[in-house]
Amino acid sequence: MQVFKAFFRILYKNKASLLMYIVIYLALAVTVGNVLEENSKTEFSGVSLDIGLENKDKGSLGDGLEEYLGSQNQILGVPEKKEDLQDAMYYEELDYVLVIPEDFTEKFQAGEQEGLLEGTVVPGSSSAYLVEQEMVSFLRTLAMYLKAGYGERDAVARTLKDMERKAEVQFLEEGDSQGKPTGFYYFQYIPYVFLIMMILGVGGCMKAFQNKDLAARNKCSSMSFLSQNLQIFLGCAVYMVIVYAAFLGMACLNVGDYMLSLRGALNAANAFVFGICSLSVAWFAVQFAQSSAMLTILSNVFGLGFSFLGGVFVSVDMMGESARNMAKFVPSYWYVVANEEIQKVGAFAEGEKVYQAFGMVLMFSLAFFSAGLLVNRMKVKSK
Amino acid sequence: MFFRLYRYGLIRSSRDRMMIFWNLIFPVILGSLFHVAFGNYTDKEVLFHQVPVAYVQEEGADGNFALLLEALETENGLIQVQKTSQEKAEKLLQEGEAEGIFFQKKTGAGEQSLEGLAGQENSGISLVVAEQGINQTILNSILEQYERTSATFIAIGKEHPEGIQKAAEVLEGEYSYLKEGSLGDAASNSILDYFYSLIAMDCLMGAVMGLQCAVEFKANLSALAARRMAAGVSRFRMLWPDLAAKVTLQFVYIIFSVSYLMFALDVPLGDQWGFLLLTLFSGGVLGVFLGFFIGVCGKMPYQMKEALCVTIMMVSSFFSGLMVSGIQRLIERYVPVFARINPASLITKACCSLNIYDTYGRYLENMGIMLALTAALAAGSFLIVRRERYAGI
Repeated sequence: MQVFKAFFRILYKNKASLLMYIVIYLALAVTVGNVLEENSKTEFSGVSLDIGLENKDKGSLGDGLEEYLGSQNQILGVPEKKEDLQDAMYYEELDYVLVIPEDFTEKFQAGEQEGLLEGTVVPGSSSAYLVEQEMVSFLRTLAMYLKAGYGERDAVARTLKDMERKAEVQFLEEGDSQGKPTGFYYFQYIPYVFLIMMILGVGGCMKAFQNKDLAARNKCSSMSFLSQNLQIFLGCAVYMVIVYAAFLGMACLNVGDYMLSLRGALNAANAFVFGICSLSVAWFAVQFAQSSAMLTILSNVFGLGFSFLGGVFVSVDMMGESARNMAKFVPSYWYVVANEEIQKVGAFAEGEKVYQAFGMVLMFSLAFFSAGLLVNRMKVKSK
Repeated sequence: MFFRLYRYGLIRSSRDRMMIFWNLIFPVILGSLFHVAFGNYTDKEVLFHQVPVAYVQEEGADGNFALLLEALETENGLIQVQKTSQEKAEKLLQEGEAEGIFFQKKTGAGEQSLEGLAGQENSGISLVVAEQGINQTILNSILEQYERTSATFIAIGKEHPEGIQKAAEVLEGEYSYLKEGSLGDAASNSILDYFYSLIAMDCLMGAVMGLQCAVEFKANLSALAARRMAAGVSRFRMLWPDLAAKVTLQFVYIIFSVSYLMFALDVPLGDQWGFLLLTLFSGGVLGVFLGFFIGVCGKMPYQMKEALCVTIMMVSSFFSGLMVSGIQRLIERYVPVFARINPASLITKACCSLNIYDTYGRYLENMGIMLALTAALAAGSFLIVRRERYAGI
């Protein structure tokens, strides 16, 4: 097993940089998992925001609006100077700023409905748009009561009461109300990491074996090509298993309970299947790399490219129609699909869509492996 | 001599294909990917694809909600309604072909009393979902609006029936009560954060150039450097033109990439050209000096230093929001010190400040920190390499 040993000697020589990548991407995977989980919590259940409110209204309608906003958010004062206000928003001390003018009640009762209030959303705060929707709903209901003939105070009281009404929402299954587990977000990031690790790790070793002089000497040796290639293949597989084990170990430390469940097992299987696909992509990428610098470039091109297009960082639902169609030609899209479907599975037998996604990823593995073989053959023939 | 070496430094560096790819082509590829993935957001169009929903209506149930759903489907294109039985609806939800089920029970005329409304009994419509997400939030919002508006109409109908027509006119009016305020002259768009982070990453790619400069300067790192150091010229007289050439080329590459984003992909990065160019230049200088500092530090092999440069660049870009939206807000809230020294965050916030705020306080703050970081890196590099002599290499 000389070639196998040589493979790992080359890996060992690059251990410092590979270990650095593993540690950093492990840390990033944990961080991203937590950030994505935090972001998702704000989408459905709503979140309490820090709202800077300046109520100059002389009437009672402004007080009513302030009371309504205060019931669900923290109301803070608005700095007087524009610079101070911009600072407060810049340093994320406020999520939304609302100014109620002094003639708000007067104009509202007179029937003016357009552009009465000035609201400013802090850049990057997606939840603030939900608050704006709630405010519009409040004002519309208030306007209905006033137009119908209710007095100011009565209209405000009735509006506040109506705004307390919530929709009756039930979840199909009991677990759905908990939202997605942390493990889901941890595994969401795996495609980016695996692609980079495989291309850098495997690619470095493959480059060494593809060195012209070394390859020529190996071809003259008594060891058959089949044996040499099998040993290299085994080396790649063992490397993939080592990286997989490192990330799985971190998953067990981070979300240990989740990993012991059915979904955790399926996620582990999903990551393993994608590890195989990453190896194939690495094999394909290595055919185009003429140096280690080129490998670094390719690892980032494939890693970032597949991750963005496949919906790893940004959900495919947020993309345009053409982007969503293009995503289906990227293996990481099917990994993400499997990750989503795993959350809906209650038993191994119910995971038909999950196994289909596994199959698609394996098909991509085959496709990239074949493409790599083709490019390799063309390079050999052109020499 | 300076300009001679500077000219040759430009010619040498411009022929380096790796640099051309990293600094020129890679940002263009990534920018194009961003544009393909979510380019429509920069036009402020809300990317709605119709939310599929199943509707189960018991016989005898009130028909107003069905009318609302029909209006939302045909006039707004917000939802796609499939009226079906309960079993089929649950199957659609389980298979993911519907995002939710509106289930409407039959309610008697007497059940919707004021007391009933006060006691939070609703109109008999419930929403069944299988997960929590944006589409489910939309459906929840539709039902909630209907519940509230129904309660309002019922209350008005009981107490002020003469005013119900006027109340209905308010609903039809679709007024914009809120006037959109802004922090400054330009409007904000959260998708632009990705492009700002991309520009920051592009600036920091100068680190690879700076590393190369260090390798060509330190005699123990390359044979070329050893030969250059053996020349009868002060080392620093050879270093400054090299660094100047790298900075110039990096600046040219960044301008090309940013121009591609602004003119080919129509990304609205603002119209304050002078300040934007200054930011890009400062970012490029910071990137080059970062790479140079890494290159002159320690005795790690070149591959290790290159890996370190790329890792710092990617991690810095990650925390400025290149891959995950919202992370920069979390860092600003919980670890503000890191947000102040992260090079990519500084560049991103400087570009963002130009586009959003109409004053320059925050912009100058970021630029000041960037210049301070650059000065610190330059001073550190100088302290490491000054009076360096080799007994043997």
